[in-house]
Amino acid sequence: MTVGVMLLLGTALVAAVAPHTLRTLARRALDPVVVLAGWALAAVGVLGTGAAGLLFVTVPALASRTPLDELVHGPWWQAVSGAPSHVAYRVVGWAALGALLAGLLRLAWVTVRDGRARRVRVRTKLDVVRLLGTPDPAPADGAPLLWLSSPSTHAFSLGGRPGLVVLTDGLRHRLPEEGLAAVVAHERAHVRGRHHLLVAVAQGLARALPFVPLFAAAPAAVREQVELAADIDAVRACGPEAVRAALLTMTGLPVTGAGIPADALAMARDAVDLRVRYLAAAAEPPTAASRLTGCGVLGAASASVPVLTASGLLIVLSAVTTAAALLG
Amino acid sequence: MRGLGGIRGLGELEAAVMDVLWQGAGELRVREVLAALAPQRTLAYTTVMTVLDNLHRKGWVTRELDGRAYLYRPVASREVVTARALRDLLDESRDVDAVLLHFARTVSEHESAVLRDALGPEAGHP
Repeated sequence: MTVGVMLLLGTALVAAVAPHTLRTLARRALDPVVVLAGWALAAVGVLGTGAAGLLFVTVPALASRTPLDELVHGPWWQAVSGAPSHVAYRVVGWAALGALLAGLLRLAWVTVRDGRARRVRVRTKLDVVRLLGTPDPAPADGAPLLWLSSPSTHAFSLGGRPGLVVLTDGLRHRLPEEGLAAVVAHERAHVRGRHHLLVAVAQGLARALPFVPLFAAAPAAVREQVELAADIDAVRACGPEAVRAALLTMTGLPVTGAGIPADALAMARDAVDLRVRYLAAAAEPPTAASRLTGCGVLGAASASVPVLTASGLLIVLSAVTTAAALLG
Repeated sequence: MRGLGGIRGLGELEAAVMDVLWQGAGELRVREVLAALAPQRTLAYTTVMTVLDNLHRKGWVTRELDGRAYLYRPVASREVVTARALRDLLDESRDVDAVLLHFARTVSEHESAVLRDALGPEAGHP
């Protein structure tokens, strides 16, 4: 049971701290794909360790052959085996089993329910835009394009295979050819990278287990990082200037300073800086090797930290007990 | 998996019929829609009738009985319907899990608002 409780403590610590760590890494303009891998594997680590912890609390015998158990041998075991309140242990054991089953059921139920609702909504949206829009006749190198007759400047994509990129006519009028190509490259990167699915999974976790800080923070972070990842792909295809110009146009900000005071224009540059900063970093886009290494290192760290934290807690606990036994 | 191809095919037909209605001035009968589609597609009269009936059920067209045939008309112009649909599509607060990903969304609403204020009204909306 001690092992289980420590695993749960480790999970809770990581679930609380990981969002801050991952956000700090993201602010340092780390490759967004690496940051996304970090979020994904932290989620897997927290889910896996949490489930294992609950299971070990329910059936302590399961933990008795694991290396974790080795960490608490010695006086601690004597203290535990001499402990009187067995009823309380059993109650906790049943509660843990209940929590584990409830968590798993809730996750499954929310996944199925939301997944079904999402498919219906996406199909409805597809029906609507297909009725309103005009398919782009150019041969598609990626998700097909659809034009909506509207003077506004909007671009968005719907996930799936082949997916769909929807653009408004306003873009054709306001953006130069390279800017338009950048927008298309960005949206197609979303479809190709299955970003819609990533966001949906993050939203599902947040909805199913909203009391876990890591999951509550995931949807916003994942949304932000997939935008940055798509920006980098667009930069690869069209160059940072085209993406920057497109961004400024589509946020409704002036690309040129006509009639705008110089300092205001500077401010406009600074705020869009959020993404433009990454565009600068993307001038040297991450190589496949650096991306793989980054994903591996950060991913392994995120996934193993709950177990390592639990191990640390166990060692401390064991040491404290040993010290107490020696003193007593 | 129910025939996705079938659904897409029907969607295309609906789009083609709406195209005809939006381009044609005023109200059209099934026969007239069929004639307008005829150069590219050879369709049965009943197919076009079914498609128009579907579009009516979904609220895309209104119809009025004229003698023994219905006269069909789009509920609004393509531009008006598009503007309405865009508002729905982009309103993510109401529909968070239908996952659209937008270009230019990451600059937060707050930041955009601060900027627009700083730049004055002429920096305005698209």
